[in-house]
Amino acid sequence: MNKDKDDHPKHLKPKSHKADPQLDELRQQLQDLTEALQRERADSINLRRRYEEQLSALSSIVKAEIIYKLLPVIDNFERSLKHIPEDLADNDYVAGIKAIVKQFETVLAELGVERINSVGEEFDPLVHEAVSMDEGDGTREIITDELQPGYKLNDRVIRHAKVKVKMSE
Amino acid sequence: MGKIIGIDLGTTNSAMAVMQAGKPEIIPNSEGARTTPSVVAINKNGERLVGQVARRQSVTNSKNTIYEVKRLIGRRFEDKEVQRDIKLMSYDIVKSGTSIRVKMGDKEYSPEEISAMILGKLKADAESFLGEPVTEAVITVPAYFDDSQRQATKDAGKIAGLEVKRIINEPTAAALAYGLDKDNTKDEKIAVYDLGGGTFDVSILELGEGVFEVKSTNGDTHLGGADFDRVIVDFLIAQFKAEQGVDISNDKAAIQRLRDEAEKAKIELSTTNEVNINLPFLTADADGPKHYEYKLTRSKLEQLVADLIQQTKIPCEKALKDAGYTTSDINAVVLVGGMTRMPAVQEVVKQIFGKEPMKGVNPDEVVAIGAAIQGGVLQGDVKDVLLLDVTPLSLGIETMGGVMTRLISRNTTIPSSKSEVFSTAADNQPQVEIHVLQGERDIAEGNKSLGRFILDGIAPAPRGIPQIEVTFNIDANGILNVTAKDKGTGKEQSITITGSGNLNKDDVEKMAKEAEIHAEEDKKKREAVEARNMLDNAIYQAEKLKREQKDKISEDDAKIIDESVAAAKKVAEDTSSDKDALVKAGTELSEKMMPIGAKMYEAPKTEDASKPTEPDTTESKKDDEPIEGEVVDKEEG
Repeated sequence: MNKDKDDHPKHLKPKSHKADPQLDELRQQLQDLTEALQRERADSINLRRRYEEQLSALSSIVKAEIIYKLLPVIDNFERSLKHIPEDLADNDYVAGIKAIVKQFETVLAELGVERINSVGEEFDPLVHEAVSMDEGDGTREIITDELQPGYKLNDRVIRHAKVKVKMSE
Repeated sequence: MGKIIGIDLGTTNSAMAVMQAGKPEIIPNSEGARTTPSVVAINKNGERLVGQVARRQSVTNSKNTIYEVKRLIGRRFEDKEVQRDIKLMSYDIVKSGTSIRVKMGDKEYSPEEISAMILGKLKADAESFLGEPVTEAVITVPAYFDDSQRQATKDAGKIAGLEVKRIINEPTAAALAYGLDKDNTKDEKIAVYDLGGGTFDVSILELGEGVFEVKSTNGDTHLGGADFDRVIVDFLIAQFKAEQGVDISNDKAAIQRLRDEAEKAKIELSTTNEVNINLPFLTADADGPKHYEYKLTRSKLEQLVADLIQQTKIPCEKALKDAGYTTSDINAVVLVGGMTRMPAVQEVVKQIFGKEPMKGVNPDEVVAIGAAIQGGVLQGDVKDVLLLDVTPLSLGIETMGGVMTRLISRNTTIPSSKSEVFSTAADNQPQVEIHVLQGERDIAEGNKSLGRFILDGIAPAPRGIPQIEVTFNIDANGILNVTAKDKGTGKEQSITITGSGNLNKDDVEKMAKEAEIHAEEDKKKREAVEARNMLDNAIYQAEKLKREQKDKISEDDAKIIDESVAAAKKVAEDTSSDKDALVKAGTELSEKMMPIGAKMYEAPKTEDASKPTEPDTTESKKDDEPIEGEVVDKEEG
């Protein structure tokens, strides 16, 4: 009670306060509602902000998703080039396939897709995923082999490169 | 005021959610993923990595990459589980006092500190997502987590700069996410089936008047989605070998592709009936490249993992039995964990619990969603849920003769507090030891010791006279505080059970099972202890009577007392005496003493205040042991 008294302007006598218990209730209600409204306001501002962010991010998210799904195709194209039988190495048909692969790579580059460097680089878990680790002399983690290439889209990693790492000088 | 976020701090993955405009919403991490691996590492440059990035470097840095730390949190080094994990984990687990430290970089960390690093990342990511500071959280733990595991989880939150408003059980959170608390018209009995990446848990909850109670839990700490993937990969390797004659089990690149493809196929087969696994240039031998193409059908997949799914059946049946329910009692079934998307898993769940499981909330996110809802309740966003959990095991103290006296029995809804009055076992005993126990065995040493402390400064008094009030208080987070107070002097001592020792679900199961196995033997032991205590007391009272009432006792009676006491002592001192012998000796002594005692009362005005302190002729249970207050009044007044 004493505390309430202090909260009051001087001209409001504590007595009149005492006489109106409804006032406390209303004050509490007002406080609750104000708090609830503030929270709703904050929520809606945040939702709007995120909606706008998401909207602008949406096209790159969709793009990233589609490209991610297409990556195994380019992977296999590359694998196929590694396995060209020796006697067919100069075959025109193979040359045509090579051209298709090149075309695919060009299209990806135009879309903003960039291949992540790996073999010979220092291992970086931000862009690489280590699949195995070989002991060696030295203190640097150097990538010795790439099991699956990694790609970035506008500097955002859409697939990490799967690599083998070896301790090296 | 900031938001209270809900955090599902998982063994392999963690997730978080928050109430936004009255609806729970998952908070993605800074990489945009909706779950974050519970992995922490320090790389050779001394940088701390948390989440996916830590996982990606784990093979290059296995000694300094900490994963599945939830298996260690709040445990003691000696725990069997810890001893096993030391062998399984690639990082070093060392002893520090009775607790555990893990080595990372050139430092040692407590499991709480590691968990705090995961929570710290979640907190930071939530802050950037919400655009405001986050300082409060609700964190979920498995229903079988004991006090110290809960306390340790709470501590982890604190270290991360989060005020943990509530620790709630994972199954309870899952039930909240489905709004099962909303229907107050009937008592719901809910089964929560949680098949995650590496662990399987089943819990039976009862909801009555908006209050959740965990009735029972069961599971398998080492069964999960990873086992399913392994079975599929093994099959594909064998299949490829049979078809192509090439063993690729040592070809890292091929295995990696097969593993990714197997997981993808497993996921797709939850919605389609067959998938085409197409892996051109999977490997090569002298004859050239080998391609792999295989049509994996849902029925083949189900056949492959049938054993694994069957393994979840027995824990479910046990949980039902422990809860005292049958299949038909269950009103709702909630699925948690990515593996529960598999139709064959859902089918088995339906068979076991006789109900179509509820769907709609992403099973990977359902626990975090429930935690966020609870956060909202605490914040005042959602008003109509009252949340209560239960103690997984009984709590009590060790009393005379090495028996456990329960103060709070298992499955008691918390918060809860209970007091009981105890006394001393010897004359002029200056102190009592309060040994706090957890478990279901009647014999103290068969239970888990949570801690002990000494209350000293008890004023010299005959045994049985001092009144020591022992109070157990468990708060809503399951944190236990034990206080002992000498009502004579007002002196008190207390202990809060924090991250000392621990129990996982295996232990809970084991302890319950052991209690069952040893029930008969324990009962005998306990009865013998009680009978011995009673006999001991009868001897004490007889000797006391003789000593204090020397003048009023005839020589003949004195002789009778001496003889009877000697006979009783012989039985009491013989450690091989069984309950019957002890009871018989006690009864004989009482019979001899009764007429003598009666004479005392007939004699005008006796001062025998001690007589009623311990009713020595009844089969009094430990619970009845507390001394009545009036006795003390008499003595003092």
